[in-house]
Amino acid sequence: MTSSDTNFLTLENIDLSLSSQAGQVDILKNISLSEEKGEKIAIVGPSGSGKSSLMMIMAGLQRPSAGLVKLSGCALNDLDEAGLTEFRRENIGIVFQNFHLVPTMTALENTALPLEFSNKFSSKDEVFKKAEDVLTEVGLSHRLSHYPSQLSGGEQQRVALARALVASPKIILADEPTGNLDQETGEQIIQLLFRLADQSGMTLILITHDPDLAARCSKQIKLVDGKIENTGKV
Amino acid sequence: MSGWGLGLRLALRELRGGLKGFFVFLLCIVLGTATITAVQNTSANLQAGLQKDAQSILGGDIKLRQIYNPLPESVKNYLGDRGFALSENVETNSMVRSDGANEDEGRSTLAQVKAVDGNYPLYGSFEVSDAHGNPLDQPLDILQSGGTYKAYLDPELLARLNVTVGGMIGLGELDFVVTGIIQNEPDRLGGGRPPIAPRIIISRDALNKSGLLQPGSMAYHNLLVKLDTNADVGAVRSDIETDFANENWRIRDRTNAAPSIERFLDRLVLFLTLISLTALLVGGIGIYNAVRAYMTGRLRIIATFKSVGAQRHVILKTYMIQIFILGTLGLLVGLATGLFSSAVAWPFIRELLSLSQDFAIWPAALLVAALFGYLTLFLFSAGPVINALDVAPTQLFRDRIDPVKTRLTPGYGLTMAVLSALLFMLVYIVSPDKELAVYFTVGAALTLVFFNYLGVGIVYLFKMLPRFGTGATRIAYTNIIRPGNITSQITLSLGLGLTVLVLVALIEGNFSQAVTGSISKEAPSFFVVDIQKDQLNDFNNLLAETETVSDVRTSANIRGRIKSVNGMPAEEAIISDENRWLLSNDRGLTYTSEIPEHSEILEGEWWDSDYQGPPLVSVVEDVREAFGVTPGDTITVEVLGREVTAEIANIRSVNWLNYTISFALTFAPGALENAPQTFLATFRIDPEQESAIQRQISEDFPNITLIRLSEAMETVSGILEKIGIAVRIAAVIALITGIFVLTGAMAAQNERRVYEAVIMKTLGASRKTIITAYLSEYAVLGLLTALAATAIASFGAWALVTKILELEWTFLPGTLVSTAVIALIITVILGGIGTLRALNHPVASYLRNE
Repeated sequence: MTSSDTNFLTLENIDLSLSSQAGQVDILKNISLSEEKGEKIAIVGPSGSGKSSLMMIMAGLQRPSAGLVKLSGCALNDLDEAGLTEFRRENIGIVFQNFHLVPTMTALENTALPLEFSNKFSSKDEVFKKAEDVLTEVGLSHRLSHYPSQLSGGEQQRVALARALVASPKIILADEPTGNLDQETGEQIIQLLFRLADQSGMTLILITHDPDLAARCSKQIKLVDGKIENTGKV
Repeated sequence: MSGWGLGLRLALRELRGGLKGFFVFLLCIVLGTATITAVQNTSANLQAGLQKDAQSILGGDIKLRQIYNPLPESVKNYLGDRGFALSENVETNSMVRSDGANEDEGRSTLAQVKAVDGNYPLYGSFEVSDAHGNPLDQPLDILQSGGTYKAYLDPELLARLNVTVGGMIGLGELDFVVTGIIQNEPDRLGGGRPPIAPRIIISRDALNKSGLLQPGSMAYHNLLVKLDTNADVGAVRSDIETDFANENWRIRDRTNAAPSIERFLDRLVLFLTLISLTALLVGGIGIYNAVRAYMTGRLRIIATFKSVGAQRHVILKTYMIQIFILGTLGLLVGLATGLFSSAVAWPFIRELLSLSQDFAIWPAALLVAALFGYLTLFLFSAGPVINALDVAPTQLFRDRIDPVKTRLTPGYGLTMAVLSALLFMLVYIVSPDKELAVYFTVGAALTLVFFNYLGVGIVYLFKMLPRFGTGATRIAYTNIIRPGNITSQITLSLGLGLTVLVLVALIEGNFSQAVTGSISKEAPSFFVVDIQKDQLNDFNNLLAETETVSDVRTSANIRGRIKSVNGMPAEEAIISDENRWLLSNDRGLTYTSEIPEHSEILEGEWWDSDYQGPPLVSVVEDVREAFGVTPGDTITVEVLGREVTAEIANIRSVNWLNYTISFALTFAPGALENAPQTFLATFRIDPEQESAIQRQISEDFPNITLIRLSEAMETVSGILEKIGIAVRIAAVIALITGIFVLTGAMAAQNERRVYEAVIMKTLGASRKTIITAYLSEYAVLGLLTALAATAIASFGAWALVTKILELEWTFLPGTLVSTAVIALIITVILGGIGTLRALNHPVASYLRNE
């Protein structure tokens, strides 16, 4: 195991304060952690404890007020907006609770979006072939040309998952991926997510309120009032 | 990577969502571009028509014109020797009489006489019909044939004289038989005289024998020249100017056939273009609202794009391409609608101006309309798109996403500045009058900004007021000031359109008022010209014996021209091109001991009434501007070969709008009494006696011309009214666009209205309370907008009327009141529709869905 594998994700003394009409609000306070590549980590905690904010900082979507974020050897603090966008495109896949699919695009087009933005592929056919492969892998080969409104909630989340995976990221960040799904569908999605993470050796970080799901992860980080209350190997 | 290809792909996918929410957006572009297209394409057809028919409008390739005297034989021989075809005609105003069955039925009226030779016309076709509308063969041969004198008349002249073809009329000392009705006079447009009276065409021989051409009679003698097809018109003109350098005639060629008509049409087209542009700018607000609402709906998608690695420029391109595609759709419909309107209007315009040009589509006109359309489109849509790009992907982790907020970022500011500058440049380029272009642009921009902040100001003022009222009043009050209120939307949507409408109405009203308004008060009933010296006593006696005649003023009229100023030839001394008219043709000169009516001395002093001494002259402001002269300088005029040098005693201003006779150069007694002269007169008479005195004078003094002011004003008002229709249509389109914009803005509020109505109904408010609350809100805002619009328009119209048109300002309360009523009706009706919809929404189903 190399040092970049052992310190794959490092957060050092992260603070996040946001100003609001009520004044300055401290969202995250002195968060530090270091995670290995390939881990499956659950972030748990009550509403308003800062889980989403912590995930946004890990994804480079939110700059911390203080502290250092390193992902796969790259200090995100040093990147400008364009650099962060590019880094995210190459290294991070995000799955949202509300799927956030583009309603006017088919499942195939939604999945292909990160590849289209990356411009790494020489032809459009190549992009869509790769997207189709990933959709097949999540079990949606028969829904390629369907629009989100024509898909069930579970299918929509599979498309979102395919979109997060299509650029072969090193880490997947999932914000309550089963929050809007019934239990059975949620279970299918989680199994799929874990299987794909295992296959590719990706790091998986997910936010959940579900203790069973958290228990299936290799590690849990519990946030309370913007601070890590405890971390532990499961 | 440029990102355009990907942007286009994503844009096309986004557009699969259809045109929902873009109805007002499209309508705004369609209306604005349609109006500009119609104006521009019609203008291009007009210009092409004037150019195509230039030779027939001018009457030849070259036209020489001289007042009072025919052109000398030397120039006719000079041109004839070069092998060019020539035609001569004479134009003058005169009274035409008709005899009824008994004395009371006889009529007389002013007509514009044209006496033509056998070569008329050198270009175009002169068409005359009989009483049944059948064309006459060889109408000129008939005119020149022996026997009784023959005349062709405009249909309007036939009606005024109550005669038909075959009837007899009197002109000068001769009787004429009405032989046909003029259907087409090819060079009428290029006549260069305002069409204050209908036309009669006779032969030159008949005119010469009619007694109308007395020494000093105001007759225009035209010599028309038709060149060989390969002759260079510029070279021939230049030859004439060189070889007859000392002559004082006016020379024009086919490259500038009808300059005054062209100038007038240029002005009219500019005015219409600017009003159409206002419609487009009002539409811009609708575009802004629609794009802002659309982009608010796309914020999650933009955030998603960002979260999966889209660069900002790709997203920008994606949405600007969508705007471009949708805008192009509206633009194409607008261009087609504009062309259709232009095609429908063209036959009427063509007939009005007797042009042969068929309707054509002019790519340059379409390009101008398209450029205006695109620039407005991007000017108003770039902001919401740029602002939407600022959405943070972190919002995807939240339940609710904030709507697009207008923030003037450096990128937004720069884009707006560049697009505004381009729009201004375009207005500047297409405007023949650059000064007006600048005034318009600055005025429109300030008005837009003003109406935007008027809404903010109203909200602020209402917030300052102590909370008042109960029930409906209080709800209306709180609606005006609540967060997300519609106040600015109402002021902005309606304000600019109303301002333009009032501005146009006030300018038009003031213009008509200036032209016709003073007739009943101070203006004379008649202008009388060409009174011979030996007729003056009899003429004055006739007026003295006639009851109700008053304010008789006579002035000598001596023709002469300005030869030099302070010893320097006038051509070299003139410093202002605008006043070059002072040098073309002979001018009328007069002498008097008393200061003329409606004159005000600006510099120097008027001479004593018994002045006897070296020649003195009083000059009007135009002469001062033309030559930069002051009292003490000298002016030399040439009167029939005799030179008279006079010292300028004073400079005066004249209020021409009082329909007074006034001369640019008025001499002190002693200098001009012995020069050959005719007389001009004005007098007032009871309106009921006008016809009788007109008939009496034209019978007793057949050569004298009477211009009846009321009749001339009727003609002028008729023309103004026709022009006014086009201008008003354009202004109304600006207002209609504003109504659509407001409809869109109110529709966007619909959900909130329904919600509020449901809550109020649940809490026990009656339908009446809710309706009164909403309608009061709309009525107050409509009225305040109307007040602001009338205030701004009144200021703009006042500035234009007094500073540019230099007319007297008349306050027109009727226009202002009707504007307020229009605004009130629009806001209350639109608001009322929305309110009823909200009220009819079932409470239970809404609350269940909540």
